[in-house]
Amino acid sequence: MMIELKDISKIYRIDGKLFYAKSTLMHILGCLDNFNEGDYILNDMNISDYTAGKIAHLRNQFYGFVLQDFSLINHKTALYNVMTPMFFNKTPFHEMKKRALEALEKLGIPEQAKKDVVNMSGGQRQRVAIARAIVNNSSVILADEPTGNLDSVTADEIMNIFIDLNKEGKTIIIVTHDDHIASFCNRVINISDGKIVV
Amino acid sequence: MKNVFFQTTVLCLYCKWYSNPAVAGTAQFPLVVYTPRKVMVINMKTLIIIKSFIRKNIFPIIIITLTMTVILFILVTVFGKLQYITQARDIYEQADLKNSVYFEKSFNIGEDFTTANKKVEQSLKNYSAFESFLNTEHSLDEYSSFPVNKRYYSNELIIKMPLRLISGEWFSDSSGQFDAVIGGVIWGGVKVGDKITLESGLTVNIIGIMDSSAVSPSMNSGGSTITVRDIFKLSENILILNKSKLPAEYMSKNSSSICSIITYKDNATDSEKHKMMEYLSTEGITTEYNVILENTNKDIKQEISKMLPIPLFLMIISTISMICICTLSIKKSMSEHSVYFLNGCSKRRSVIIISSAIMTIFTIPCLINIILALFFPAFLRYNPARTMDIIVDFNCVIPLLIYTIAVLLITSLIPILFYRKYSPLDFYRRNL
Repeated sequence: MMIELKDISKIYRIDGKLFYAKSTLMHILGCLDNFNEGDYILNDMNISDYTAGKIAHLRNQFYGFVLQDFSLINHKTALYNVMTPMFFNKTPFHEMKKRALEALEKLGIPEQAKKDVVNMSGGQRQRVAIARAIVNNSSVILADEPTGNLDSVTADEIMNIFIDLNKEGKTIIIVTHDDHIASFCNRVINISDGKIVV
Repeated sequence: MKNVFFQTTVLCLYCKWYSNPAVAGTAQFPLVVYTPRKVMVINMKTLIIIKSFIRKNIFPIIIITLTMTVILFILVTVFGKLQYITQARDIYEQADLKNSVYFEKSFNIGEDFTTANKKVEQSLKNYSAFESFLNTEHSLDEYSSFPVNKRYYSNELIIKMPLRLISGEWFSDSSGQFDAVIGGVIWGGVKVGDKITLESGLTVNIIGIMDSSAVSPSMNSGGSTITVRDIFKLSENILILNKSKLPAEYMSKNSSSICSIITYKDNATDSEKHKMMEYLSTEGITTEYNVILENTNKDIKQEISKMLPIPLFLMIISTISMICICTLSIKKSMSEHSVYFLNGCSKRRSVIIISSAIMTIFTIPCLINIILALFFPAFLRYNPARTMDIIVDFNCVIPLLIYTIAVLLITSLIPILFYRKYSPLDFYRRNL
């Protein structure tokens, strides 16, 4: 199969039933997982040629992750969590806090900056995760069931945030089997038995 | 300024560091990634993650720190004890005493052993095998309110048993009448060439300084089994003078050591030696040079077999415990590091972060014990080390460092092995 994501300013939805390898595809796209066959060409460069360090750098600079379980460090503050990607690039130390606060402000939760993630609601946690995904000005946001653990009202709020980010020029790739999310997406990639059917 | 200090001075590790200055925080198409080799600095950012690891594992770290401090202390003490025994043996072996016997005079009740020893020395002069009668004389004095043990060595003893000095020179023919060698912990500011006046009014010129942890001959009674530990003791604030050069009035009130070393001539025949030994056996107990060395080696083996098993057992158990605690701490930090992976931390960097944290943990007890080892003589200023029969000095830092580095290497291998086994995704999944 071949997926070509030429238009960078769209919201893509990877759809399919449970265990149809949607998340695996997202992990491969996000350079979290290895693949045994085929090629992953990113900007005319084959990912297979990249070393582990280059791939880590790519994850840091190019992708932002928003996951169903939020993947936040629970015992740390929202501010620390948003600052996390900047620990692994050349952002000057004194700028990290400023940029993290800006990201939190953009997501509408600046007052939560010093609150431990463990004490936050699901919607707030997902906003922190999104703030973390955008703090590095990543071009692509990979979201794996981002609304899976949220109620419908909060889920809509999160999707609206994605739409706003898309309008700013970010590519959003959402893995979900929730049909309600489809209304927010420009293109749907449907996967069945590990193959693209639509 | 503070950040710059941390970023530039904390620790440099040479490794592959991936950078893309063009897209630092502003990822754009086309994305250019290149890998110039640079020196990666453990900067403020890394220190924050290290601090996070330490804070998350504070209790295991306290346990590791305490255990490691105790282990290293045991190691220093055992090594100090071994050093004490072996140093005395080495001096005895290196001294020109192969043709000698250690002699302990049998005294009658109320008999003055200084006079008795002098009587034996006089009688020995009648034997053709006799070469020299070596013992020390001593008297007490004070310097800066600290007690000083003045030792008077004969020319023969000075020649046959030169002691280890850290500065200056041992006595020679050209040494002056009041030239002295000092040893012990009370002579802090005294240097070679200084003239010092003791409480008694005696002014001496310092020509040599012994290590505060060096041993010198004391020639004590050791019963039937003599070892070098009976012949030597740690130099507890001593001042050595050449008695052959001193005016007679300084020698009148001195006490001699209980025992003596009697040397015989190289060319003495067996019958001449036998005659001399027969006489000595009527006066006291003699022990041959070779027997003393044999006894000493047996004593060292016994000491080692007595000293080592318990500390070794403790060390092995504690080392295994520490490695287990480290492994658990690393496992506990996996969830946090899976988030770091997700955000662009490479396996290599993660290993460096965890290894640095472990290194920090082990550095604290190591430093505590190094300080203890280096300042041990100063701690014993009012209670000379002689009473403890151990020599703790810089030499003890070497096994301490070797052990710390070995444990550090083993524990640093744990994250490497861990990270070899799991991909970033495994870390992420483990977080779920």
